[in-house]
Amino acid sequence: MTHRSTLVPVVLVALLMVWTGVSEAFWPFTRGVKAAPDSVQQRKWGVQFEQWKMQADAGTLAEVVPAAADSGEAAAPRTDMSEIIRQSREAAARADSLAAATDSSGSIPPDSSRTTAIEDAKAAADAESKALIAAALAAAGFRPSFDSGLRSTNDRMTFNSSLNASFMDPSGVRLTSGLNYSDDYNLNQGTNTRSKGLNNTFSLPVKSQGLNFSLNTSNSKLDVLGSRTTTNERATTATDNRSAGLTSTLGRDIMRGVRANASYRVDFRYGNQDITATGSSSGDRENKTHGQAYGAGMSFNRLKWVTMSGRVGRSLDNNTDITSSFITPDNPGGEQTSASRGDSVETTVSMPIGKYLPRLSAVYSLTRSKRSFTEPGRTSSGATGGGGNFVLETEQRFRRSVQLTSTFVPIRRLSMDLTYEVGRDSVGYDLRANSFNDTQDQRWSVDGTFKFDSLGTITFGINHGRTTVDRDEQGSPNPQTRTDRENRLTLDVTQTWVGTLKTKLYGEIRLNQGFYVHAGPQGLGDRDDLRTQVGLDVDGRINSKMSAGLKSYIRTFDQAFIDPRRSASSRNETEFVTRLSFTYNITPSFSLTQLYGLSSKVLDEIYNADRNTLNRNHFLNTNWSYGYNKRLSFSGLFNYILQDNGAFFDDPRTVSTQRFFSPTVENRKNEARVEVHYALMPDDKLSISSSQQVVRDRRTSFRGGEISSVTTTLRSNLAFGVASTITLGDLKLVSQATRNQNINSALNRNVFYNIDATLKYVF
Amino acid sequence: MENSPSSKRNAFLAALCLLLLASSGCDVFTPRTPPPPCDPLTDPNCRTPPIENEPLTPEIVRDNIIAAMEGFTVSPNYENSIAEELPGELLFVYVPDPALESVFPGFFADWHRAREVQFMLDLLQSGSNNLRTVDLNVTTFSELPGHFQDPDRARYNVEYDLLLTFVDSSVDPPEETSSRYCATALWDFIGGDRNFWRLQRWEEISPSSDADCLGSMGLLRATTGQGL
Repeated sequence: MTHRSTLVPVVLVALLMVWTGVSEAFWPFTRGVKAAPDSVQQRKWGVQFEQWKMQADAGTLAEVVPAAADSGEAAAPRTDMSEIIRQSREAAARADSLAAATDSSGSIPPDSSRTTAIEDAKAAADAESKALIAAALAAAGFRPSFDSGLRSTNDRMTFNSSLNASFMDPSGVRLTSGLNYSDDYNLNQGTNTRSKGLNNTFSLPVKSQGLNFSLNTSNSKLDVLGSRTTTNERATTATDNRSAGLTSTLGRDIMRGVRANASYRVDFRYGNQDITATGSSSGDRENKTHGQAYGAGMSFNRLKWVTMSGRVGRSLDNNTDITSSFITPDNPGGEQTSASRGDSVETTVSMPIGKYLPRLSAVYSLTRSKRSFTEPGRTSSGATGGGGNFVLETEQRFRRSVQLTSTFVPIRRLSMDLTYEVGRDSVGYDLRANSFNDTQDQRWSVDGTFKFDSLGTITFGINHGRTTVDRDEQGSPNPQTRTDRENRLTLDVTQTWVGTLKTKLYGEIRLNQGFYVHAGPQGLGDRDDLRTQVGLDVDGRINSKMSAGLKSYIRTFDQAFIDPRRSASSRNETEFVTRLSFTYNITPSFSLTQLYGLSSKVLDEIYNADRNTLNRNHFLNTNWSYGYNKRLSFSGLFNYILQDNGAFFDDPRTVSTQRFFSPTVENRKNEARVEVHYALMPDDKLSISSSQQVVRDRRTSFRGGEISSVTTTLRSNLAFGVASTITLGDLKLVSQATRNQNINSALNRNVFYNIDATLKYVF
Repeated sequence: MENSPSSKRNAFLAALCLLLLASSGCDVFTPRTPPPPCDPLTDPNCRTPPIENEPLTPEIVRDNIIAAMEGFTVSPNYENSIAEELPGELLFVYVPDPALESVFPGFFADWHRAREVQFMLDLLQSGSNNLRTVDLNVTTFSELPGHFQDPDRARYNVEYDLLLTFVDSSVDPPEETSSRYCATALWDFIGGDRNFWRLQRWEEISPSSDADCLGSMGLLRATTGQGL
């Protein structure tokens, strides 16, 4: 019996693999095909793989959380139930991480104990998940709510509002509805964008059978008024999208340790766009789609040493596109029909092998799609020809990947995550030029943690990647065709010396190389980037009131361009950075924070030493805050930064290695700000605030080592605002209005207002 | 005899040190040596990259961008002019003009440095689009003083005019065509504190009304190469 139950999922996975191969054999990926427009327009594909994936995922969740099975959930307003689903998933993830942590810490050496710990963790998460769902059911009922917000700055104003309602009974039947409206005035672009939408979702679970049915509808309208066209006219673009879909999902145990899920969805989508202008820039397009998607999956977790799952899905769409651009004597209605198809397969096998390999899993996935859409037509040179003329474009995409991951625990304090991935992603367009891309990626990594004592940890990582990018379309050489390689090594040593002092010493070296096949206008693009970094972080608590930190590192970045036509751009960059931070809580109501920084960066041009540069800066940031009482508080800051840039050259008079700095420009910035906040009513129900800020920027330019010009810019802002936070039962209103007055040497005066207001009411 | 924990620890440390030494000793981390640059006076195929000036001001960054595009040099010149990405933060932002955003809904939502550089590579170094010359003129480049309170950042009002000339050599005689992209835009620069400016945000305001102009460079971005 055991062998037979083991055989079922193995056969299933094998069938999926075979099916994948057959599918690929009958549907080879065409390499940058540019079909003739007529034949292209007869074939249109539109695929939504994520849709069925969501349904397949929901199949297992549907029986406990019916609403999750509804693929229209993303469009529906966020509700308490969606939060419950999220928390439930997090609980499951926590169980996995807890199990992994239990493994890697080595605190439970025997296999049996570790297995028990993992099971306990999963059981705890399962209980937590069920408790969350029970809480959601307890909150069932009719729950309408209203949200609105208004935001205004000196160049933009937005208003949005939404009215949402949800109804759920304890059996899980759920109805949600949302109505939203937004208005956006962009003063820079001189436009007004209005959108409104209505979304409805109804879901009906049949728990005893593991079934869930859901119906969702949506209607959204988007109007953009006042956008300028190339003929300097004002245009209005009206977009109307509608959709309706019916989804059914099934998830149930068909025998001990074997679970199956399936989903089916049928939907209708409609989209219409009208561009209206007084001139010749008008255009229109309309799309109608009848779609269906179905998928099925199975998981097997009966045995302790192996779990397997697999799923397969297909999406089919029938599209009709109508646009005046398609009108011909033979097609006076400007209508074109096309069909769509997409397939997806994913299989996962996980198995722990003893205490040294507590985790080993393999994932194989494949998706391929063809998607069509209308976009502005182009001229023969590849340039576009304006916004009113549309053509039908088709995208083909084919992705496949295999991922192997494992956790390796060779000794008690050492844990390593091993990953090997190989994948290929191919994409091409029928009309769009220079769009073909066939990328093959292969990479492996080792990431480890070694606890050398109770207070110290070494983490390390070794990564290697190799990516081949083929951009040659129809045999036409593309200078972007290349092979990229990456090697990376990281090492961190973290040590807690005493309870109040912690250090981290870290280093990294990374080399990225590009090997190009065809020369472009600037020759071959071959390039090597070498990055290294060594740093030290120190965090310490001096006493109960004071703490301090140090961050210091040296970083190098060497760029080498290998083609002689590009090698003049090769350069080496070295940066030295030290930062100190200091926090002092002088009294419970008065605190002071300071940050000091010192850095310098040397840029050496390899083949043009005359252009070597050095730039340096040091800064001091000081922040303070003081609460006089519960109602009155003060805060402020003082920032200072000095920056200079200049040439950094060898001494021409000697052969010594000493270098000299000749400044080109120096910036000195001082900034001061003081803020006062006073609560007229307790709990900030009504408060006033004032902020005064002054920034002085002094810029000195040099020529030949002598000062050539000095400019000083003074910016100041005086802000006075009123804020209110009112909570009356389920009503919450947060509003703030601020008057800003800028005084600076360039504008003399500039007054503007900022307004923010949000209202939320749960009936 | 069973090994003690300390001997195992020492063995591991020794193995790790050996691994590090072995790694440093072999060629795994040894870059190639760049050859001396070619000489245009002796090599007719020599086309050295434009000189990249230290970006001490936004004006120098603008000049570096122009030189990089006209000199077909994405790496390192154009690359170095775009704000670097920090861990978890995509610093460079491109905002298309709203008319274009409507035509390509969502296409520019996550336009970041890598996509910007890839766009330039597809435009300038694809090798199969017959692009022969690039002429970028920035006709207006004026700072909007005081827009940012922090002197680390600066906003400039920009008008640009990009002329691309294509030559199709597959026909006899070779056919020459051109495309122009012109627009007004806002360019935000970052790096004033370190005198090391880079372009951080490019917001198209509106395409030029010039009859020859196809639109803003957003149109070029959306339709060049893979766009990913």
